[in-house]
Amino acid sequence: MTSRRIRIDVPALTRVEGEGSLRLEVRDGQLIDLGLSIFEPPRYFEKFLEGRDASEVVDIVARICGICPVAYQISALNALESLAGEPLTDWARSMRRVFYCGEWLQSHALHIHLLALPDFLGFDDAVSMAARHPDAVKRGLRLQGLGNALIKLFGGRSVHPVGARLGGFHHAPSPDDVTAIVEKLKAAQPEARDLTHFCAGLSLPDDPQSFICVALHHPDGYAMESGDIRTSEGLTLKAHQFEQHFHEHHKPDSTALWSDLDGQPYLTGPLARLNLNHAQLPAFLQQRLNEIGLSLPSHNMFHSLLARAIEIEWVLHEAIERLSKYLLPPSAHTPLTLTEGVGYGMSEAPRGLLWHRYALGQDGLIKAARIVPPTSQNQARIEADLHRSLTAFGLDQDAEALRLRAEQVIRNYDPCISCATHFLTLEKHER
Amino acid sequence: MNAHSADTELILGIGSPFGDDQAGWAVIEALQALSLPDHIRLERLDRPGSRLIEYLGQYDRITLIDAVVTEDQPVGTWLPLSLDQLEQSQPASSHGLGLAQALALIQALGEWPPSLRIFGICIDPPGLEESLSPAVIKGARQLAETLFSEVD
Repeated sequence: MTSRRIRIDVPALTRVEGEGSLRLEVRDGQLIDLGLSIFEPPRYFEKFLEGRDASEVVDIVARICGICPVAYQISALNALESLAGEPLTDWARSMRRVFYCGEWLQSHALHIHLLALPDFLGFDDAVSMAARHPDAVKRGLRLQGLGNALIKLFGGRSVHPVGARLGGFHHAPSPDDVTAIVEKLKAAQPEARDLTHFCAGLSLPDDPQSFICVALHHPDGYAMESGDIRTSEGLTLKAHQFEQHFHEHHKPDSTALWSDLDGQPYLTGPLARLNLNHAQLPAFLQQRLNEIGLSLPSHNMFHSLLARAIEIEWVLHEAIERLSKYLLPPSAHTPLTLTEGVGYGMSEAPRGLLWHRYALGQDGLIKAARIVPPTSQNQARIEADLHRSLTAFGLDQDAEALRLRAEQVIRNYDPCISCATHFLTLEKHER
Repeated sequence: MNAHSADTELILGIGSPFGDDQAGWAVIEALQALSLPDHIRLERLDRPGSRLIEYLGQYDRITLIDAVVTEDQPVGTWLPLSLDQLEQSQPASSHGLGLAQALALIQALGEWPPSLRIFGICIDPPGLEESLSPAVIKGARQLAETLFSEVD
């Protein structure tokens, strides 16, 4: 009997952010055991938030993630602002969307160029790819830098921005600064178009599979910072209804909570968004979808790469459209009075749906917090995908090939652990 | 980030908000309490990954300070690190490029700054606590004083 045991292990980390492991055991050509475990820091932040003033939440949650602080800020603000009687100004709502565009741009550019492309171009990592494809890497870094600049425009800094606050922003950018960044965004559009074609030209595995898609949907446009939940099964939910259908449970081998939608695994993230909301893309992107031959909805998870490229083009367009009409507001925020109660909020982080709930006391302090990040929501789907994809790929493949395919499958979802390039440690036991 | 035109030197503390992983930030805070010349810019960054490239291209002389997990030295010890030593270490972040990977990428792209040195402050693997250990605070202050003493 031959037993091969494959372990995916992220080695010791000094940063407490997204650790994971995959346990995979194949015996006599059969998949005996497969278990994915991802460590989730947001759970600890839920306790940190208790007893804090509501106004502090936006800056605390920005610390949860070094890649998507804006997502945590916007979901938290949506939840807390639902407890206010006063509406936000149109300016604040519009600029929050632009702020968020910066995060999608930098996160997607990082993922495509530094994490995913080495898989498809046959390199161990971005560093070895950079020597052969410096222009591709530099393009990724330029797009990422532009996303960071957009975040900094409203957030004051790109890493853990501090510009957002209850009711709007602390500061409105000057029209001169806005004009300058609009020119840079316009200059990046041809590069983004080339990126989409470049990604479409890659030899992506053709591996369709069945899964449920979950994303926000907004009647006014491609959902990002607001909207209702929509599923490919036809369900539509407000933020306060999330817990009626989405449930979390512990698995014995994982510190993370696992989510299901009425008992089923589901997908959240760029491909789910594109599948559910592609009809709302502007005409030039509808044309782009035709050019690259991407038929939607797609059930090939490897099309997540194309979804990110399309969304990069979309955020550039969206930010340009909104900033081209920019006017300095009389005030960057509306003073809000929050009432005691439970506030629910959500938004589309680069990796997918990010849901928050806060119980606010009469004293203005947080009594309880709950944060459900996209990585935990995708865990059951990743595990189901691994079961199916590795079996279809061939469990008799050599260990190195299995390791690479497992990494590629996981990376499609862009979970926190996906950034640890080639993170599988392979152990082969034969007896 | 845009450097002020007069800035020619950057001292950058890298870390995260977790326990002794704030060691690099502690050095920057200690330096901020001292009177450094105007041409030296001090920055704290939280897990910058590839964003380091945006920073490093703008200065003639750069000093990076980060926490390192090692069993070879007592907690709180500070030491200069070579790129080779960094490359032997495990990736420092799973959510972006670690420091060694980011610097290797900069090197592969031919964007290496004219002068770069790296200091590590030895820590145990950090937990989720907010505060730093007394040994790391002491080491961070010692490194800050050493860097300050080198200033012309």
